[in-house]
This record gives sequence, structure tokens and C-alpha cells, in this order.
Amino acid sequence: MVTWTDFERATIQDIFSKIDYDIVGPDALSRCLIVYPWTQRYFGSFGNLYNAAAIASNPKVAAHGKVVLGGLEKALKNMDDIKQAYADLSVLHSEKLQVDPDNFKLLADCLTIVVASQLGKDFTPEVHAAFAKFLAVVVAALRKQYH
Amino acid sequence: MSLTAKDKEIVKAFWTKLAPKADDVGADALSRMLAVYPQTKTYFAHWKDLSPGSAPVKKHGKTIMGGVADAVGKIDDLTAGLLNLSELHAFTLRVDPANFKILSHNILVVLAIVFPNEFTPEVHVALDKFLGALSRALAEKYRYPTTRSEPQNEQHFSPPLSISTSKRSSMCWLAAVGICRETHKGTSSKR
Repeated sequence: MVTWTDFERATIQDIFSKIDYDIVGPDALSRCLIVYPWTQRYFGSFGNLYNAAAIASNPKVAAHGKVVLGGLEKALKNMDDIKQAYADLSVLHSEKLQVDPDNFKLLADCLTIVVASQLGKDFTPEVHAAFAKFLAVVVAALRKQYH
Repeated sequence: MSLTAKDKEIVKAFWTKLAPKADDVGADALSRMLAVYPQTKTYFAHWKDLSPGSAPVKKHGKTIMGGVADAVGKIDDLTAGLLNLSELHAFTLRVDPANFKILSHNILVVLAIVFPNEFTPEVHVALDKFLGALSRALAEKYRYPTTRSEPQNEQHFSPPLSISTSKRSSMCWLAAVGICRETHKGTSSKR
């Protein structure tokens, strides 16, 4: 059972209210595909992923980036039981999409970097810590249904 | 995942932009590492103040970035270039190499904040590879037969702050603090 301090709750809500979903989602996913190219294995149907420029301008990547961020919204709205809220998503990633769960951390790291560049100085070490905890809980919940 | 010529070019070019701000980047990255990954604080229990931006954190952030600067200069052979630092981390500091990844990630986060436009995905991947190669070079000596003599005391300790940085990062430092009487020349291996 995860306990959140008032600071953490407020900070995480604040981050999500400040970031532009249409930029952060696509940026984080394209950065993940560029920086960790083996993650492209899950996106065979996305067309041209041959180089950084192609990935960054790929409309399917952009669309899917927004889907991923939408998924994070679900955690945001259910902070007191993310594990339960993500049970179906976890089954989906494990049984249907068959994603190696180590990749969740890679995407989380890219997301942290993109959010950091969006928020700049406001992304203080304390804010960073709260966000990292949130993503760690999300990743753990996504890993939960892997058997 | 070795560094291509292009990677090295990108790293060196980005370093010229980073160099003037290196101390601040180092201090911020270290502050973040201690705040976001509290298990890393165990290596710095001897510091009075572990809070973000404190004096020991700032000083050590500078030391770390000095090491990174050195590595940029030795980018064509990191393993050989960082041998002494590897010995320091392996035998004296005994930092679990998993933590190199954590610090590397925090350096990248700070770069994203300080250089939001220049830290493009292409620069990000080149730097991530470089920091990975640096970390591997630092871990080189961890499980490695050595010709060093056994340290007199088999206990963990941290380098006294009064020893200068250059001494701390070389084998001579171990002799200076009386841990081993000889350098690695001409002693038999006991590992």
C-alpha cells in the first residue's frame, strides 16, 4: 500500500496540470525509441523508424505518445490504488503486447527527462523525487500481472 | 554498444557548451541523486549535510564533473584512461556499479533542464552511450586480479577530505594514507 505525503500528492497533480500532454507524450515516446532503439521492436506497424528525424515526425509515434500519457492520467486519478487501476493494463502489456517490463523503466526515464526540460527550474530535486516515486509505483503496477 | 566517431564528435561538441556550467551541473546532479535515490546517501554518511546544494554536495559535484571532463579528453580509450579512478572506486570506495547508472541518469536530467533546446534526442543518445562507457571503464577493476598488496585493514572507509583531489584519484593516495605500502609495481597478487 503506497502512502503519499501531501507534498507528493500536490506536486504530482501540479506537474500534470503544467505539462502539455500533446508535446510530452510524443516527445517521451520518440526519445525512448531513439535513445533505446531496441524498444522499436514493439512498433513494427508504425512504418518509418529508420532514424531520429523519421521517428520524431512519425504520426503514429505521436499518436501513441498521447495514448501513453492518457494511461498515466488513470494513475493520477487513482493514486490510492494504482495497482488495482492498472490490473487490466498490466495483463494487456504482459499477455497481448508481450512487452519486456524492463522497458517500462526506460520510458519512465525518458518521460522524466522530457518533463524536466518542460518545467526547467521548477523541476527541483524535491519535485523530481515525487515524480520519480509516482513513476516507480506506475511501473510496479504495470509489472504486477506478469507471470 | 561502443562509441562511434559520430558519438564522440557529438559528446565533444556538447562538452564545450557544458564546460562553463559543469560545476553547477555536477552539484545539481548529485543533489538530485541523493534526494531521489536515497539509498545512494549511504556512501556519504560522513558528510555533515546531504541536502540539495549543500557545501559538501557542491564540492563533490565539482570533483565528479572534473572526472567526466577528464573522460571526455580520454574518450578514445576510456578503459586505459580511467584505470586509476577505477581502482579507487573498486578497492577503496567500493561503490556498487549499479549506482553509476543512477548518477548518469541524474546528469542527463540536469542537462535537459539547463539545455532544453540543445539536449536533443541525438545528443541524449550520444551522451547516454558515453556515460555508459564511462561507467563501464570505472567498473573495469572491480573483479580483476591485481598486483596490489593486500590493504592493511579490510574495512570500508571514506577518503578524508583533507587529502587533495589529485592525490585521492591516484594510487599514491593509498600509500599516503598508509593503506598499502607499495604501489602495484612488483608485488605479488593475492586475489
